[in-house]
Amino acid sequence: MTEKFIETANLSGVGVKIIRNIDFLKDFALNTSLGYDSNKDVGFIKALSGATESASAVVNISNREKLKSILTSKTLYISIEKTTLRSSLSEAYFLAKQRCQDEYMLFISGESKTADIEKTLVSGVQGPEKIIFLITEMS
Amino acid sequence: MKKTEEVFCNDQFLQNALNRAQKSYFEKRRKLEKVFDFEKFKNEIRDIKEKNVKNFEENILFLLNVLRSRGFEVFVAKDSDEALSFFYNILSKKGVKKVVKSKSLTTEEIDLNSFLEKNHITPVETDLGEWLVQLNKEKATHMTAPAIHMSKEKILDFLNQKFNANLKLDIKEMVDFCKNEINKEFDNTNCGIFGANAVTKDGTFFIVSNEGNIQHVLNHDINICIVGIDKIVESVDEAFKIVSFLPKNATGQVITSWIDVFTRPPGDEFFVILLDNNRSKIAKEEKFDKILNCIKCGACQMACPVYTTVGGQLFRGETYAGPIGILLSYMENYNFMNELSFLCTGCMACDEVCSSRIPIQSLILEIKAKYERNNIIKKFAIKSMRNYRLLRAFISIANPYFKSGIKMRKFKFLRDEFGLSFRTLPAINKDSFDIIKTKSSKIGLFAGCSTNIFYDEVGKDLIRLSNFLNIDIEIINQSSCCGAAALYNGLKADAILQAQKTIKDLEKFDKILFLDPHCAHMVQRDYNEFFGIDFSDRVVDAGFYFAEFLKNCKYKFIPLNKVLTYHYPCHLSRGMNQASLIEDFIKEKEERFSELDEKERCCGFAGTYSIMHKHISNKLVQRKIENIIKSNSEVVITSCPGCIMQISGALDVMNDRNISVVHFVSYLKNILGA
Repeated sequence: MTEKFIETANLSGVGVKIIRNIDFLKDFALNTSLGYDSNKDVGFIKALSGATESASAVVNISNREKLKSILTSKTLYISIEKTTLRSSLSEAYFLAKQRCQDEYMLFISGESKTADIEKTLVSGVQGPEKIIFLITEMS
Repeated sequence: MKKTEEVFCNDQFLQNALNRAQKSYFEKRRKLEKVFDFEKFKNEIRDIKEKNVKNFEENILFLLNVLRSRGFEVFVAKDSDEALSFFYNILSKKGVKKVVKSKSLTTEEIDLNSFLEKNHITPVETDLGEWLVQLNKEKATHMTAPAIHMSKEKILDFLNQKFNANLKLDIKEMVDFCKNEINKEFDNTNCGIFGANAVTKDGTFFIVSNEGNIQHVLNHDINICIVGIDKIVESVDEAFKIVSFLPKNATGQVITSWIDVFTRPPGDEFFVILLDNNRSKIAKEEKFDKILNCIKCGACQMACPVYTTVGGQLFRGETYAGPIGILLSYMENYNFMNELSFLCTGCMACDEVCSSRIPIQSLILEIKAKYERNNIIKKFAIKSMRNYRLLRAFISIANPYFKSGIKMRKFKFLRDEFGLSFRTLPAINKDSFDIIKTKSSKIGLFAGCSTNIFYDEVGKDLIRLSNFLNIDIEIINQSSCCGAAALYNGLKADAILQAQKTIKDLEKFDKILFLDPHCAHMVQRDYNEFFGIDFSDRVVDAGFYFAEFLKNCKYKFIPLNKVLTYHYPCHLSRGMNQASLIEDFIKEKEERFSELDEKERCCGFAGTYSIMHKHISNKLVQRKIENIIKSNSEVVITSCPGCIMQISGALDVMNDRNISVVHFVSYLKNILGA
């Protein structure tokens, strides 16, 4: 599953790191005991699940502040527990719904970007300029 | 229309922008096609859409009940007026003076922005492309790339003017500027308006996006979603299938950066408008119900040679542009369907890329028949093609006047009027080719009008070839044109009459060879559609037939030993899927074969299209010739007399005598020394 996730993420040009835990995020003054945190430059969010078919992370949006936090981080780390990886978007969604009853799930597969001017790709429009997936062993 | 076509064709900024967009799209798409099974996806999307269109009423009722049970206000708008009135009621009740918008395609259908402005409510588009076209008081010209028609230079000019800015011609700098301007607006309102890509009947909304603006729009106190009733699907699995394939087919992306999936958006209040606007009516129309399979990916626009030549400012209805724009405009009851539908060349590039296998080209032909627009002379000419005796008489009379081609070099007006300024037409035969007597055989040759009128040498080459190979072929003495010219010009009743006569000519043969793939495709596909007679086992392109035959024989070939290339005729490649075998055959024989860039792109002939839309036709053939020149070819081989006429005629005007254009059958005869 992890290999497939990395392969698909590479196809979309998104970086993936396999790590034991997300403690290194503390170096950015982020509180990793929370479900999400951000300062202007760096933020992180813990995903409920991931889909390998598209290298997407599923995060629950429990409140408006959380959504804003995701959108305002320049670089957003998204941690996905290895055991929550599923093949399809549907399977990942149903797992996320099992784990959390929130009514709004956001699938994130890449940075905020546009190619609206002459098909030239520019990253960082109304959301993060860079997304990095962190596949973790922790449960 | 004609003058405008010329202006768009000569707009170099537009040409550059569209070329870049098309090139980038297909590069990305081809990479993904190697990883994902696009054909399987297309079948699945078609099945999902067809099933849900059949269950329209049930789905809508179910969804209404679910959403209302959650306490949302839901409206079903039968048309634009009702939808606008719902918007007005909500916004005026809530005292909203400004709204931010995203996923605006459906709101464009009801022209929401103009309505809001008239009612002193400011709409602000937040997708960068939508914002640019709104700012420039234009309309979006592509489903997924609204500002595709705008060059960076044009954008820079008006940004600097409008905002008194001093930006440089740097796309990153321009995007940063735009996003900051858009970003200011999110905090200036408490209301977001958006559309959705799919909604399940149990009320789960799916929205795909890349920029992150949608999440900002959703993050308001009041949310209003407007969605066409064609977007309702039965299950989450079906919705995921759609949002998974949509970006792959639309932009060559594995997936969009964001997919919002919610049963309740953030914010305090949620209003839903389900828009019918003729959808339930079209769902009951046989054949046209397939229009509702569209998932609005815009791939057909990127593939269309006409759209990528003139763009979506010209090739559009009220809301939608390009090939699918013709179908959706028909659904919208657009007033000028005759002009819009006749912009299609019939090349089927749209069919090939459609996400849900909508037979776009066939439906456009149906629309042409409903809104037929031919002048009396053209109509008379096409109608009289069902009387081949008359046509033969015309050939004999015209021959002395056009022995060396139809050029009109002394008559500028006529030359311009008949599209002879960019392309001459060949000499008219002394006699119709099909009067040549041959012995009876179970294999027939249907030469077609182009060979009978212009290219008897190609027909004679086929006879020489078949004699050489000891294959008895009977030349069919035609009673009529096959009907293709009539059908593609909207004269369907005449096409059927001509087809009825032709069927009698064809009945006795086990195998029918065609020198013109347009005729072959007509007999194979459209006769089946007209009469339910399946000719597919009997119809074969002549070149394909010989190439297949020669696979198992040991003949000596003498290659031309020149740099040569092969152009794919639309009806042979996309219509009958027989072009690649011919190209492979040539490649195998000729060491100096040079593959043609955009070999499948239409050359712009399409019969009378090259006269009625000469500027577009000219642009298309020029691009074909640029590619031929790039291939360094001395010989262009193709399998369609129409393509030969267009390419060699354009080369003739350019005085380029170094490149010859030949029919594959003639080439085959030559390399066999027949």
